Amino acid sequence: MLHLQIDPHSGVPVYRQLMDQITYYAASGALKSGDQLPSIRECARALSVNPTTIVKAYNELQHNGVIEMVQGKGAFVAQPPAAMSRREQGKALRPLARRLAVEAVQMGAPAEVVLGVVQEEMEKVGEGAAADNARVR
Amino acid sequence: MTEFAIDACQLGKAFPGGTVAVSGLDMQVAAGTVYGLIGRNGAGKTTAIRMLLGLLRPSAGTARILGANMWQAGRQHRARVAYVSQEQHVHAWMTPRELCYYLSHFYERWDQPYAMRLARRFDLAWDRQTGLMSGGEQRKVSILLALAARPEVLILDEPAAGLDPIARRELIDELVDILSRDGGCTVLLSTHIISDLERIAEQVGIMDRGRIMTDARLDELQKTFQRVQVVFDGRLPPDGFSVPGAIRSSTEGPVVTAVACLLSETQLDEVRSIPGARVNVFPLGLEDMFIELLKPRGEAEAVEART
Amino acid sequence: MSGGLGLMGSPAEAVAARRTSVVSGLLWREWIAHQRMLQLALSVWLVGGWVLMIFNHPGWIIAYGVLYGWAAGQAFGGAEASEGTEEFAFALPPTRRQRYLARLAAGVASVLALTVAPLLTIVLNLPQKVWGLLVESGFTDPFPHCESRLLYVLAVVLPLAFFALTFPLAANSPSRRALGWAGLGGWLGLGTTGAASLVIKPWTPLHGYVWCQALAVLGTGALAAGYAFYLRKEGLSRPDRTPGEGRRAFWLFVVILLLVCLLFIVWSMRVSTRVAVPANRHAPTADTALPQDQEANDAARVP
Repeated sequence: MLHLQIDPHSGVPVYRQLMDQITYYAASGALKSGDQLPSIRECARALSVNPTTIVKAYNELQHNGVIEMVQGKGAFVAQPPAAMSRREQGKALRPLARRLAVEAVQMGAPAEVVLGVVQEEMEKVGEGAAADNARVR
Repeated sequence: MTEFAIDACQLGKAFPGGTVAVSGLDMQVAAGTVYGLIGRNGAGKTTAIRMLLGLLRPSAGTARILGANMWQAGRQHRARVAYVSQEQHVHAWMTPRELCYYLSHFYERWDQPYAMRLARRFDLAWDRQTGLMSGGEQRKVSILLALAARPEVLILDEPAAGLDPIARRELIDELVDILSRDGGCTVLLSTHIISDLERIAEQVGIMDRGRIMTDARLDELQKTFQRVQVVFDGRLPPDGFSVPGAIRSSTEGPVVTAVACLLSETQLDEVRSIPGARVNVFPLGLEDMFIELLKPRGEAEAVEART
Repeated sequence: MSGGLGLMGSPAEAVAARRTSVVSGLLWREWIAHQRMLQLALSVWLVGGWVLMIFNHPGWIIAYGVLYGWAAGQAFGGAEASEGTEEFAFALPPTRRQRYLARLAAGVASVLALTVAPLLTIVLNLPQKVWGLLVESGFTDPFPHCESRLLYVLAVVLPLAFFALTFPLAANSPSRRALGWAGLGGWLGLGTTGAASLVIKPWTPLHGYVWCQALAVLGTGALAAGYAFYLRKEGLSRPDRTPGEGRRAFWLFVVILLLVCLLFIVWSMRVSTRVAVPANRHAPTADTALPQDQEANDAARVP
């Protein structure tokens, strides 16, 4: 099923690691919309971590629209969000972009290199999603 | 607002010989959370815990569990709290079966089937006198007795010391199970095994010389304390350069490495703006953080960081 | 065996049931912990009183009872201090009050049982009667009857006094070493009152019973004081050195014990002059055997 890899000792909060992984799986298609995520209890047991970290991760993911939690049933990957307007997308991505920009400026990388790398990564993730969709059909 | 499950206010203890083990200790643990207490040997963790439980009388301040002072509380109130002591001396002449029978009289919610499941899981001989068991097994018996009492507040003082890694993980798994159950449980865990805390603690208190030095949510600590590395391109760092918020810092050639307390995202911006300086930020594990905060520094005192 | 009582009817009933179960839990522990000691004491009495039948005089009961009271005071009072499990025990739900009182009750009950029962068997001459039912025994001579009521009373009071003086000291000792000193408690109390009676003239003619009352007061006072201290006792198990380590402490201990024993001996000499000397079992003298016993023995001789 879903393979979650958590390193509690890395210094990155566990809920953060969980969020990042689930978000990645959802984006890359390993998790399709409507797929059910393991229950908080199962997740906590499997990873040997405090259930509240799972709760926090799931809550944040729901807040970000990646998953939705249905009372009595569990957590499911959300339907792809209604197309955000470009402006909304820009706003959501800006903090990440800022970090990227800072890094780039520090190492003195020109914008073309940065944009090229971003494009490649987007293609890779997109390919993953497409390939999964193809397999299902 | 609901009261805290564990509430210590300006707690202090001075022993007759003159040793001051604890002074001005403030600790508030909300119900249902897991609080990890770490500190060097002799920081006063066990003394503080004993005062909370009504084993030692505080010389100053108050200590309350579930709203009542354990010295004066009646049996029913005390039955909501269970304790695993660091020294885990249980009656050596009793077997686990007898101990369970004995304790079942005192705890409202004693769960005998659970006790037997735990004995199986920890691989304990049900009818062997605890005095004849190894140190690790005796510790497991103490843990079993505390867990089977199904308490609302569970206080564990170095429960995993002397346990092999498999037993330690079993303990963590049992705690995770308990936390997943409805009603949950407040857990105060004092331990040197910091990796265990990174799995289950929500709140961490670092105790030093009788006081809580730092008390914050674990994820806040992880976000705040980071390792910062500044690399100056092919030249030495400018004189008097220091990373803002640095607690400890070392310089090797063009590289300045520091453990810093980052309270805002923009704290390092001025460093980033120095031409030719590359700033890398790495997350810091709790154990490294603990070492950096409490390592003796020679003349200077350890810096207090309140988050 | 299944633990936990489960819910029984109304919450009030459950609370009441739980309260008794707390007491029974504490008492069960005392029973289990001191089983061997109790069994030993019981068997000593059974052998001495019923088989060998040398316990035919309250004096024996006093000696045996005092030793038991002394041992029981330390055992019931200081069990956890000597084991080093105080931290564990004090963290358990029962309050200090419940623990002290339960132990006290168990200890007093055991002392009473082991003194009153032997006394009754002597007074009612039970061993001979029971054996007489089974065996055509050669025990044709009745037990000499002790005329001094005082000794019978002492046979109950003295063991209780020893228990009452040793128990609170043992309960409040913070370590095994201190527990050793607690053993002195009974002897010191006895020695003091004994010495006081030697010194305070008006006591002398009234010696016996007033002295019992003094012991009763002292014993109760000690128990009450011990209770007050115990409620404030910090639960730390420091199973450190037993007495004997540390030369100065050891010799002091020995000297005090000798002094106390000396006082006891002097006192007992004074008391014994007021009591009929117990006769030899094989040669009953006319003035100790009561008429009705004589008749019973004559009757027993008839097959």
